[in-house]
Amino acid sequence: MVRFDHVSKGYRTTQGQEKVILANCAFSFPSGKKTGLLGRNGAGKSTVLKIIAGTQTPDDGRVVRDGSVSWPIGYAGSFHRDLTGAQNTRFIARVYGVDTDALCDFVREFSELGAYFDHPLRNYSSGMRARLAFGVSMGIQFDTYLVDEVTSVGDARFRQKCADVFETRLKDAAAIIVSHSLKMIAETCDMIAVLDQGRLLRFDDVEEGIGFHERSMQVG
Amino acid sequence: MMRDRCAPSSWVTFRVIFALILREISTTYGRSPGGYIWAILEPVLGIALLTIIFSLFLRAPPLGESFPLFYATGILPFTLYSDVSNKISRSISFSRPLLFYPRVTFLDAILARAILATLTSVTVMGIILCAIVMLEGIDLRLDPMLLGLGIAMPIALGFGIGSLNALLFAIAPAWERVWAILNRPMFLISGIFYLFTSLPEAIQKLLWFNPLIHITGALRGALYDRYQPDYVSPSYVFLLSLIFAVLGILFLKRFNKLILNDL
Repeated sequence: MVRFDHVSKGYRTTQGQEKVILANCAFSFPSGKKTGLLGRNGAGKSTVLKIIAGTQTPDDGRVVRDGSVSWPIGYAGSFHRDLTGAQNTRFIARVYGVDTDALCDFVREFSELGAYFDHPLRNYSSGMRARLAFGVSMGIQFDTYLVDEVTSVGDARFRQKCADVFETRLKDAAAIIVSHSLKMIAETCDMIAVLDQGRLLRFDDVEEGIGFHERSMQVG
Repeated sequence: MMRDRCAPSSWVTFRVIFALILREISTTYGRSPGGYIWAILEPVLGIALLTIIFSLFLRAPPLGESFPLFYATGILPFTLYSDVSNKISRSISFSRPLLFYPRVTFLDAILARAILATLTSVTVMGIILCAIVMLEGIDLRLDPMLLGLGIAMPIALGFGIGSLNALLFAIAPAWERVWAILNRPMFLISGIFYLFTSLPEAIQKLLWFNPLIHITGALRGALYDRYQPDYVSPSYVFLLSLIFAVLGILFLKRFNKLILNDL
């Protein structure tokens, strides 16, 4: 579970305007639930995910995390260009305290990189990087997964495989998902949080949440 | 059974630092065998150069008979300090992509680089000093207390200045250039190829404030039993290091997220 306790966060745009992302926000992302985080472009969804992950601190208030929280999944920027896929995987295994060999075996098998798994990352295409990144994050069981716009990679068969492993992982875990694909949100999530004018609005009915979001998009 | 459940965050600092060190070994040093050879070769070349130049003009070095030992006791502690401080001061930009993982903190990045740079430089220092003592057939009477200080002081100073610069490089990139310029005369004013105690008194009074002059003095006092560097003040060096380290780390602790996300 992740709970916001009177969290405020704002930033200053390059034009010097004050933008509010969260204003004295109290919210609870419950254990085991898959929450779709919706909001207008620029409302600060990614920042909210970073605050949950802990790579950004709120200006005020605190974030209470119960259980392990993943990094925002769907990111390959932290891989080292001169290290192989296997070496990068081992680094993350060590940081998160999982068995290095087991994680390597899983990622080698899942990512379908073949011999490239033992090549330096600088020889990878962006699709290969994404497959590695997704494989690594799916190889570790977290209590809460943070998902930021996982772009679909590979062919239909590979995408189905990603969806399957993700579903297995989420069986006894919570997730907070940011995505432009409302279809994906509707299929995966059982709860919606809409980020709107510094507040997080909770909808236990997914349809209703998506409907509210779509109306606010039209107005704005 | 596959242990894939993310481990609880106890011991996390140790795990992360260990992972960062392994990673840096395989990137910085392990890329080519030259990585480690260069770490030894660089100070060796410096010592050789000073030995050649000064043995043309001097009949004997300012202390003892061995030119290489005299210049090694100047260059090696200086290198230890500058390695530790340079590595730490760039640790934030070096590990920036890794700080994306919530479990990796700026302090882990600093400590990992500090530990690796210290281990590497102290090993290099040991190898070169042993080699010189053996090759030159020097009868060594070590002062263990001064030897300890001669190693601990450059590490502490490197850590202090490195931490403060890690902060300053991040918030004011121009400082990195100014710092490089300010550092140029350091090789000349740190007692590397002369003795502090043989300088005119007026200059001594001024140079005493350079912490590096205490560091080279301590190591020479440790290796030359005739030489007693009474001017060396460990408390001055350690206090200065502590102030720099506390300033750097306190401000980084407060502002590291801001630095990482906005700058």
